[in-house]
Amino acid sequence: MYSLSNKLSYQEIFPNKVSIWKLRCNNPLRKTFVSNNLKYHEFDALLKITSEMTKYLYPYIRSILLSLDNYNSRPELWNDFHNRLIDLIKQRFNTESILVKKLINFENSKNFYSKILLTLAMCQSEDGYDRLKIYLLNL
Amino acid sequence: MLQNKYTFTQSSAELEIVGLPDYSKSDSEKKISIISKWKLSIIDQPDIEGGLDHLKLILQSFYKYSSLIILGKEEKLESKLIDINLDEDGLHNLLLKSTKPQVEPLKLKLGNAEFTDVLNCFDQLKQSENISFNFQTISPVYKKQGFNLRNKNKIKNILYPPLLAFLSISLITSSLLYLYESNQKRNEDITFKSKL
Repeated sequence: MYSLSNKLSYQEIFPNKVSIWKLRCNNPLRKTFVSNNLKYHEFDALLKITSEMTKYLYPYIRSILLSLDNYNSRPELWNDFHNRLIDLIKQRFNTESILVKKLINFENSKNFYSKILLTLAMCQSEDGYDRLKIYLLNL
Repeated sequence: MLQNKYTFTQSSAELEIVGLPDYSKSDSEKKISIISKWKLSIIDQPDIEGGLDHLKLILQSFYKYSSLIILGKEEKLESKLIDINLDEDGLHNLLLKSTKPQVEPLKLKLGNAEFTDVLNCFDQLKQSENISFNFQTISPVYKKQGFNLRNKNKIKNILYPPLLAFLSISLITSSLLYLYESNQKRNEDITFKSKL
């Protein structure tokens, strides 16, 4: 993320890796939640970085989506992704929260994760960046 | 005059655009300003071809549908040339209606992976510097919906819980009041009898 932010000339917003980590801690679901107001240019920079990252990750995202589309015949990739994501959430998020409990429920969270992946797959271009922005501003 | 051809590829989808430069706008030889034909090829699916109007409508529908999916709104879109909807298995059903008479509509079933491939091909076309095409009317703008009185379910959801709560509280208190009154009367009777 840090190297991508440098590539996109965001040195002023993210001068080091810690500055990115601090912004990530604005997520109220995290164990290390710090209540700070996210500024618009920081929000915009994070969106640009996400959009740029999906360009590199698109082949992986696509493969997982393909596995979900053909879940009856090839469920392995989707299940691996789903389990790994739940593990990561358990490690980093506050598992006492009801929202997080819903997220780590294997059966109920499938639709939510598939929507996240689909949104990421659609946000790898300039128009995709707009799509991601529309999605987040309408939450 | 030789026509220019550009292809935009993304995994399983390929979009081919054929056209000419508009010399009246002093375009370079490599540019396309007048699209004469286009072809969309998706692996394991029949090819889709058409003219400029078809391309505009299909692009418009794809962009609008993608916004609907992202916003989690009604996932069904109908237009003159193309209908798109999401089925129970999470696949995207496309119904392409031909403008030619006596040609039956073409049904396609796209998975999420193929759908994003096609959308990314359209994004590449839109960003291409070699193709000049008026895309301004394509991107829909969605604003966060405020309180809408016409939505009956929303009103029900807002009004019913407090009304039910109020009703239940009033019922319980009225029954308790009745018990309290009868209790008080009995106490009075007891004190009256004891005085006697």
